[in-house]
Amino acid sequence: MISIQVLFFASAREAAGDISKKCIELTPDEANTSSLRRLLALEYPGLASMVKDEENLTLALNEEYVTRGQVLALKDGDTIALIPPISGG
Amino acid sequence: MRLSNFFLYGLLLSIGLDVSLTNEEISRYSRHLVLSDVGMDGQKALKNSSVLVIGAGGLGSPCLLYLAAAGVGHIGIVDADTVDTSNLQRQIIHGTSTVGVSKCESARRRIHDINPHVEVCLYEEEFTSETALRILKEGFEKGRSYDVVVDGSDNFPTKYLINDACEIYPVGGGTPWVYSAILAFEGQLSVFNLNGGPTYRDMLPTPPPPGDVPSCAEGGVLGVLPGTMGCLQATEVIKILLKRKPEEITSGRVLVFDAMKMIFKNIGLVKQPGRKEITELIDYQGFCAGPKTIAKKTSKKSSTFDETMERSLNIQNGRTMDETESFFEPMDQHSFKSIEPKDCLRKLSTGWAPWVLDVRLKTEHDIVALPFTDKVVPHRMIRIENVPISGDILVYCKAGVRGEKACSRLVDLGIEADRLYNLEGGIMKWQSEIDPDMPRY
Repeated sequence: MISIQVLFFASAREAAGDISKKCIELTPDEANTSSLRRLLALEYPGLASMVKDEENLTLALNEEYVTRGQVLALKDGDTIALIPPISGG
Repeated sequence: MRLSNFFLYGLLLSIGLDVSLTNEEISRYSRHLVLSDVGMDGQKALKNSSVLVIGAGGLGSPCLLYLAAAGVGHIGIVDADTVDTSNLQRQIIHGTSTVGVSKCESARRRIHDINPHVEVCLYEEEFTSETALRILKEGFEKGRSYDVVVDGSDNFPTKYLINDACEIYPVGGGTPWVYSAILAFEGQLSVFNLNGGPTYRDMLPTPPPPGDVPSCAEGGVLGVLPGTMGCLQATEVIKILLKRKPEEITSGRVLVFDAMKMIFKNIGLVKQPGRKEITELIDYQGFCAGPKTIAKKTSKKSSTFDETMERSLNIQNGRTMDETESFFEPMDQHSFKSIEPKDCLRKLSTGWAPWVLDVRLKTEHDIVALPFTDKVVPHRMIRIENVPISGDILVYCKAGVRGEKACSRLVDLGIEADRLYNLEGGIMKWQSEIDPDMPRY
């Protein structure tokens, strides 16, 4: 198992039930950003509609945006931030 | 002093060469002038600069105040809206004395009170695909090339439009622009298109589905948050004008600010490989409305809705931070009814007893509500268990839009459409037509 840190921003935090940080364990098979989205959707039903869709939630891996359409491998100790788009002004 | 230098000094005095800052300006900007990273050269550069601020709202207000105070010589402002009391909680360039005045004019008065040396150019119109390039270009033709554009907009379509217009104009690199967006306690900031750097489309290639991201009117915003973000925008504008090194500027990264935790985080951003170059503007309302919806501008049916929105939310022509952003037409299969407040009252007084659902936030319900409300469930969270299994259901929100969405959602969940009534224009229309003693918010 590898363990990664997930950070929830803005409405992602609300949708996950006011959780701002969570350690998630992944099997070697699941150690990529695409599987992580699926696992987060299962773990947090409130977040499901948001996390499964790249347009609704952008991921940042170790403080770098994950480019749309890209599936990145995750390794032990990585940090993933969930950043929902916002538009207010 | 040698004679020749004294002679030159006399010559300069007589013809006024190299005096681009007056003595008054020198004392005004003295705190800048003693900074080695600004100094006389930097201050003159600011004076010769031209900045376009799109939106004189939450973000634009503080940004404009600081750009003016800092001595940016030419400032363009785009805003089609007028000042409303509900703006004053955060739009600090405006005041109680300018409620009802256009935001452009209100901003100009305040700017000239702070710094009469600033030349202000007003665009009392919306920034749209039709006006954007003309506005950017006009700055050039009058010799006030817009060196930087500031995004003070409050919706996805305008942000994409600013992005694309700044990539297109002028030919050969475009214009750098300073992005920010806010919601509740969180803000984002980045400088896009700086010397060919990443753009908004690298961060968000396509918009989220309409209605999925709440606007500030719907989700709320801490008043001081746009203050913080607008000041950060002004800081970046000034650094760009001072030609600071790229690594000193928020380019190639997005600053994410959590005001509740008081944490700033930098997220690195790279250009999307193979992203298409932008060569023309598109229909941004349509682009952001998504495939399932009809763009607002193409819909004639929306005019009555717009009138309602204007009346009830004090919008002039602007798409401001309101429910208009996520507006969409109800789809045909969702043929629930829309009921005018007056018809609703008449029906109720003749014995109609629907189950009444408020689909706003609990906080909004606490401000003002229909006294006969049965349940409060925010429109995004409605589940079939929330509503009774039979009988009519009257749904209402603030201005009617979320009510429509809630009805659509209930139909999707299996509720018969003919049981559903959405209160047209929401509780704000009820306030204006039925119960003027209710507060407006």
